[in-house]
Amino acid sequence: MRFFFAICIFLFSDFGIAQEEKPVEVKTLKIEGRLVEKGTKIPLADYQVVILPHQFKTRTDSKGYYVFESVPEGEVDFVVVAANYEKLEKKLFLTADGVKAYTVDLYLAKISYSEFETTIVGEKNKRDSTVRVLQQKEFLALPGAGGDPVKAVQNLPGVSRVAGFSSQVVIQGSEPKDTRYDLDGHEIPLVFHFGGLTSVVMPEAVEQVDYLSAGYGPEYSRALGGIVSLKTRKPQISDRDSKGFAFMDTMKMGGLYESKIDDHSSYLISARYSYIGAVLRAALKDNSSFDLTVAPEFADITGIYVNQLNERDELKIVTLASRDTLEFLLKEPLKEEPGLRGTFYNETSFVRVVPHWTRKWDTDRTSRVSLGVGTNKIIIDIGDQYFKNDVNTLTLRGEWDQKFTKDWSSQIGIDNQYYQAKYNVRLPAGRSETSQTPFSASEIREVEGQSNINNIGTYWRNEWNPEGSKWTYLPSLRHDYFNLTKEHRISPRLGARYKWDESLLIKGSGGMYAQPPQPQEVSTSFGNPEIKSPLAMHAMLGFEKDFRQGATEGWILNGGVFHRDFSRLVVSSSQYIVREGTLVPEIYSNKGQGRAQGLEFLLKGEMNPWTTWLSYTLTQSRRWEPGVAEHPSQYDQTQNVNLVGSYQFPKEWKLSGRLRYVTGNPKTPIVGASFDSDNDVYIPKQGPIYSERMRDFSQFDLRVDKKIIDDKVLWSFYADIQNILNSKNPETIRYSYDYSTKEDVTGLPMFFAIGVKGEF
Amino acid sequence: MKHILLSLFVITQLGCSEDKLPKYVELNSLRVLALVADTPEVAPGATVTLTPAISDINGSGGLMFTAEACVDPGVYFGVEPACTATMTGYQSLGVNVPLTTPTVANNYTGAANSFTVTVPSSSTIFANKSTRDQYNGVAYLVTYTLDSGDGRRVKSFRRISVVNTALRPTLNSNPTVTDILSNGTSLTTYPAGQTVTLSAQISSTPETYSVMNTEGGLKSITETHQTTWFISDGSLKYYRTLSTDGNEYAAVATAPSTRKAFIISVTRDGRGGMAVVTKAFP
Repeated sequence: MRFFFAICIFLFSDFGIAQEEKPVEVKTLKIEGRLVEKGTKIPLADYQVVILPHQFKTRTDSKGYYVFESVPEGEVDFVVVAANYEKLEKKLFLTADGVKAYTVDLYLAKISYSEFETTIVGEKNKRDSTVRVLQQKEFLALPGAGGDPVKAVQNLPGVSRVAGFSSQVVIQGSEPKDTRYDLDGHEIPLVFHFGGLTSVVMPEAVEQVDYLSAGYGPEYSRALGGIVSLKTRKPQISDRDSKGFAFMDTMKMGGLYESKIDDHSSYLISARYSYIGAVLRAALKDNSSFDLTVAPEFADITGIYVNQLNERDELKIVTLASRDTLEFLLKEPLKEEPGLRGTFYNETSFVRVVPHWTRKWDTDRTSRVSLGVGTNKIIIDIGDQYFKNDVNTLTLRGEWDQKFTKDWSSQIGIDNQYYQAKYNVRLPAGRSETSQTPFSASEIREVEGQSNINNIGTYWRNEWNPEGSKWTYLPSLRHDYFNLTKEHRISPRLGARYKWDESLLIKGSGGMYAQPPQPQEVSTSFGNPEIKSPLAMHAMLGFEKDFRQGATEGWILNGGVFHRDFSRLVVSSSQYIVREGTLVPEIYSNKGQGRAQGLEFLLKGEMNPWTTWLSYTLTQSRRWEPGVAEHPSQYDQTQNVNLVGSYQFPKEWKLSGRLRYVTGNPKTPIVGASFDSDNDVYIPKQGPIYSERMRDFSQFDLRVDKKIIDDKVLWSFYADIQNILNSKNPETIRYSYDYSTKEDVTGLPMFFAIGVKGEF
Repeated sequence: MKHILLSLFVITQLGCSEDKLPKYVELNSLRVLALVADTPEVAPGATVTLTPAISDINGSGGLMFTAEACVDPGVYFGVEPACTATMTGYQSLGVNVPLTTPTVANNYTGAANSFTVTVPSSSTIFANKSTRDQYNGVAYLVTYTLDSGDGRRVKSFRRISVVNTALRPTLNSNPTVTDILSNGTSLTTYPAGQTVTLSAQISSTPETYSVMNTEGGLKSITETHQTTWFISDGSLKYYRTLSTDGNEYAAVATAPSTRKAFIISVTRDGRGGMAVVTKAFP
């Protein structure tokens, strides 16, 4: 035993002597990598990265890269602590066997990926006092709108609900045709696929939606109701050089990709394609009288290119292409329309290329010029009736913006439209959109030709804020020329703002507005060539109160009252008149008049994790004409309430809901009918126009969102349940063949939509 | 217009309703099925004989008609289809005239008493009318109101197209329908308990005619014959068919014993010409 200990002492003593004399070499490695936000892969610049237990520290560079030049092998622990992010701890065992450097990318998870986070809704980018702005973060998350920017507008005060499946925006007691839609200031022929399924622009390519109502400014015109303007965004390449996403939901799929080209240019491209037709085809496969030969489908492409040419000049080119197609065979004529049978084909497509050039001459002078070049194509074939329209379009906008003095700035602009249309039409003549006379009992007319429509607009806008005054005055003037009616219209408009204090703004505006008639209304074949443009006078008085006192959370309330007087409205006429010595049906006249007035408010609250939105509108909209007593307008909805709320749960769950209540639309009772033996239909006899109402509308929508954050992909899942209470809201009335009995046709029952989006 | 068409399609095809409304094809109330003119298109001053096809299968008689005529006040453009004494070319063709046919033996279903109308002269009916209107035809409206003894009333009308024969000498005539076929042979007995294919036996060919458009150009069009079906019992797959296309009819197991069973076809050419075939069993 003693010998054994001696050997041990010898051996250990030798080892110890060797260690002291020849130290063991500690191997080190270079560690480099990138710190990015988990899921979004946004580089995190100037963040501290720590390696324990060595307590080595470094900071990321402007692109999120970090480097540790010499880290001993063995187990290490990466630690990153940053505000608004969860603490990152990552263990790694480093070994130097054949390895000189490690690349370790770190993914830092945000505490919340909530859409509503720190969004100051509706207050950005406002030049016009009447405008309400929906930012992308808002419309993407609103329940019931399916992430659609234009459908989201229906939650705003002053917007009437359109019956049925349409999503058209009807503003403050006007009509659907009184709303103008544009993309970056250039009118587009339709804003929805199939009249209401979804808007024609990829929502994620839209920066904001501007909704302009009574008293809107001189930059816009030709709309008695108001304007819905989609503003596209620039490619977001400040955080990353490229990124994108792909999505799929119940009726469509698509994707978006955006990338930097060089230091001053970038692009964005997106596309969507629908497969709703496959769903419809399955639903209708047992219908013996209906053969869906081409399932309804739509597709759209949005492209955006931005080039910062130099310090002063920026070029932005926006391209939008959209196409809807549908074809089916009616083996048997419709019950109410024996004249409608055979093949139904509908194709609607358009293309726009919109280059914008902006030059900042100096701090006080800016010029903006943009062109909208494109084509529209509409084909509707129903048996032997058809409507074919090919249009070449050129729209031109230009504005010179100059600050003349410290308190006076002014803009002079042009807003011109040139349309060259070829048409070939065989349709019933003289039908208004509210006509209840069957197509089959209408006179069929056909015409083929070409026409040019030129709308020339110029405006002069002023903003005068006397130094030291709380008042800002907005006097402006607009001139329009409509070649269809050969009319010059001068429309003065005036606005004023009073800044009571930092949180309260009082505002008012008003002016005159003119809208060219619809082309068919002035057609010699289908209308009355003597029709003039309908007119309106608007006035509004409102306020904006921000209760947040500088905080990011709290309440914002805005609202006001509005009044509109309409004159020279185009109404259907059953009179015969002598024109050029011949007795002809007048079909349309300018004898309509109207009035709409009301009050509205929007209350928005954001108190994390709650977000609330309440909009309310009280409206009275009346119409009258000689021989027809004053009556409610078609969209006179006395009360319109939208309550939207969302709650952000932990682990990226969010629940949101929308409750809507709208007074029932006016309807005209049918008090009898006559059998038209020639056409095999009954012609209804209308009672007092819009003297009754449909039942009130109410609906509750619910939406659940869940995000799953992968290191390199951010997955978003949603389920949108519309009409979760399965309310049977009457949308229209179906009559028996002789109009002696009737029943309600209700809207969609509970409807379930799901979707998934992966951002990479 | 596009929205009207799309809405029409969407609402009729996708709207949610229980559809408990009376069916067009079923004969169970007081109805006018057709107003047949012996000459659907005429020159000014011509006399036209009209024969209504009616049904009051559950009625008790006492039917009367009132008929009036006038230059079309603009029914196509929304004017109520009715004639009053102040209207151009107004004529009263009979007020509360008792019907002698169809009789109770035919359950008040079939051809009713005929009546005649003489259309106005060209100076009246073509006054201030364009060449296009005179070429295509100016509508002379005939209204026909049927009253029952128990207070029920139905209104109907048709147009007689008055043409300037100097511009268009060839006038429209009614289609000729000779029979209703069941599985290709004449329907002579009620097909109780069977499902058969009905079709109209049309012996005339669709006429080709021309219309003048608003620019004064002419376009040639060929008629399409469309047949509307009416039944008192059983069920039909379609209620309208084109040309001589078949229509599946499922007869009831036993023909009614207290009244006759009816199958009626009304074939129209789309421009006022029509022909009615009535089959009553037994």
